[in-house]
Amino acid sequence: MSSYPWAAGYIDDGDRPKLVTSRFEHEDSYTLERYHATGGYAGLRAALGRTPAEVHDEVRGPPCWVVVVPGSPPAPSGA
Amino acid sequence: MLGRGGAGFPAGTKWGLMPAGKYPRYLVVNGDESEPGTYKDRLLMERDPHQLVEGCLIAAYAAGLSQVFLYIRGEMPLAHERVAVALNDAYAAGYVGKNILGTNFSVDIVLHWGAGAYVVGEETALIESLEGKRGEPRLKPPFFPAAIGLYGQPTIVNNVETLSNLPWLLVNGAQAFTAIGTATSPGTRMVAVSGHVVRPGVYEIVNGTTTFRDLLYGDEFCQGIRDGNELKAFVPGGGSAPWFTPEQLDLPFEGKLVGAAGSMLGSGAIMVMDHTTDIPTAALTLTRFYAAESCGQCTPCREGGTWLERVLQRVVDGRGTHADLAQMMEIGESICPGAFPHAASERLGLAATPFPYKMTTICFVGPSAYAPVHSALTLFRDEFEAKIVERRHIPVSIEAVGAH
Amino acid sequence: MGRGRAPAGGGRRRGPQSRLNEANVILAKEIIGRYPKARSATIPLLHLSQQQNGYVTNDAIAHVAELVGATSAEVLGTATFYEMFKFEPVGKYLVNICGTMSCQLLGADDLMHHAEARLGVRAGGTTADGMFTLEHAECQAACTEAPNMQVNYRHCHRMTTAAFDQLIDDLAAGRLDGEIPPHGTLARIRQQIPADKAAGVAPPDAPVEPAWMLAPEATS
Repeated sequence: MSSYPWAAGYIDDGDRPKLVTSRFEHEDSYTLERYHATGGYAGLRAALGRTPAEVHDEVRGPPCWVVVVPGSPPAPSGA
Repeated sequence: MLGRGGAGFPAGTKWGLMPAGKYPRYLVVNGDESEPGTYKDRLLMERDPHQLVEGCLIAAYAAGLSQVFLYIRGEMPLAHERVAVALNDAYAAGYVGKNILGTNFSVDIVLHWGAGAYVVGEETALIESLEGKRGEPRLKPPFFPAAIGLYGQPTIVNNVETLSNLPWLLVNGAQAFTAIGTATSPGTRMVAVSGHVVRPGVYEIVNGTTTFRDLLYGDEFCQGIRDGNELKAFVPGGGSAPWFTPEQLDLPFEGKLVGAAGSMLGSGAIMVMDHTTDIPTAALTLTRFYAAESCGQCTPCREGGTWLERVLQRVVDGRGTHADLAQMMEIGESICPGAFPHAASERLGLAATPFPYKMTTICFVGPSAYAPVHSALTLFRDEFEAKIVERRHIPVSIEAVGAH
Repeated sequence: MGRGRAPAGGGRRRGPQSRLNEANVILAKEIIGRYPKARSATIPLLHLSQQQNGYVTNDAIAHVAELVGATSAEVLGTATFYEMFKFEPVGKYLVNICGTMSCQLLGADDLMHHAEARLGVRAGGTTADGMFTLEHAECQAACTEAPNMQVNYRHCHRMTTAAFDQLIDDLAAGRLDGEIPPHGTLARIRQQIPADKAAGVAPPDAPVEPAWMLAPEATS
């Protein structure tokens, strides 16, 4: 019932945005060739075109993202 | 963006917590995914290892991290192989190592293997393990890994999914990222829905707006409960999370709202129980897990978790007494003093107790052993009573609902 | 790989042969060289010793301790914390049946009962021919494909009793030798860091601000 026999469990029907699973539809998604063919390492190049502080600001995003839940217990697997 | 590890802590803010001017700084990638019900990091590592490698590099560049350690759970050899090949190819292509893409940015990514210990998913335990020690969490506060982490140096611990988002974010920009989801929960996140649904699966969903009803009943998601059965309860955020019932189905996948309703989104794992489920037995599978995974440092967890498991086993086996039910709550009180979060229930006339809880332990493993017991006892006490009074297994599927 | 296996239930192997062999010592030193502190290599080296011998022997612990600069007690203390390290011989195939929530909801108990009957051992036991060790396991991160099990940590999804029998037959007949290596071998491909490409370790006692933080050089 998975969408692709090579990605057991993963289902992607519907037109939802795909940020991290965009390559799962390719059987060879784990190869460097496929990664290059699908825009791979463009993010690194974009980062290296700016200063570290600029990249940090981009990831930090606008101030409204900063939502810290007080007393939240530590995460089971990092954050 | 919010971290995808379970606590939902903003990744960019986490990087900013490192003391200025203190070097070297390290990045430890948390690929020790083992929360019951959770799997997204394994798929991300197996299916798109370069995306993770690229995310590590972006983080190292932005936060000035001198070396990266990619810690993968031991029981995932395929993920090891895929990441190893990706790293070997990335080194050969000049993306990792010395003078990356001809700049003065140089960083090594070291692939590290775990060896089977759930608690190592906690970030300070992960660091201890990476130092070659037993994976026992460190006391925090006062010092968090961002200040004093690996080898006593500032250390960022980020989850695999968090880092895997970075390449997209850098290419498309923060504006495009925030355009997806809600202001408090931007972007997407991966959720795994398992148990008694028609189409269990791992889905990348829009953060903040998708509801549990969408996920469990939606056509593009799980397509309802198996065999036309009725939903009895579900675990909304990994084995550690207090349980929800059909009354909470319309909540969106948004941390604050789920917290106020008495649970947490945690690691993005939903486990679904239909009306044929023997609730005390289901709770036992989780409590047994956390009892077994206690590292043994804190007495309330080491002893309390084991006691909870034993007493619950006795009740499940039909050898329990009413005093056992009170005893389980009492043991839970010693791990988490005060009110423990739980969902509202119209049937029982209960109002919700919001997240989080107080705890007498260093980390969350002890409270996690109690969470399923507390939820099951609070929301389905009649099933425990039945096991005690009737001294037999509950005839769950026979007269409860005649759906098929 | 030469991996003389002691018979199930036999005594621990001792003697120089259960220390890391020459090729593995070279590999061990390469792994150690990737970390700012040698002791960080403890777990990878214990895996290496388990790959060589099938389980972690006392001699291997002493040898790993020598290599990482710790005491045997420290290495033993670390090793015993982690479930994957075995201190007695186990079968060529470690069969782990998941019993956590989603798998339990979808029939893990029945699968375990069947496995015990088929293999003739209780969970935790090893078959007399030394081929199979059966274990109860916790969440294997494949919950949508329940009930799950792993053989030497390779996933087997949506198991049925018939599929289990077929799998055991195939393993016993050697039909899966190419896919599932003997217990102890995890990934069959290792990371290589070529010396000329390495950025090098970042020792904690060398407080150097990374060059790109001081003066970033943009790509052209």
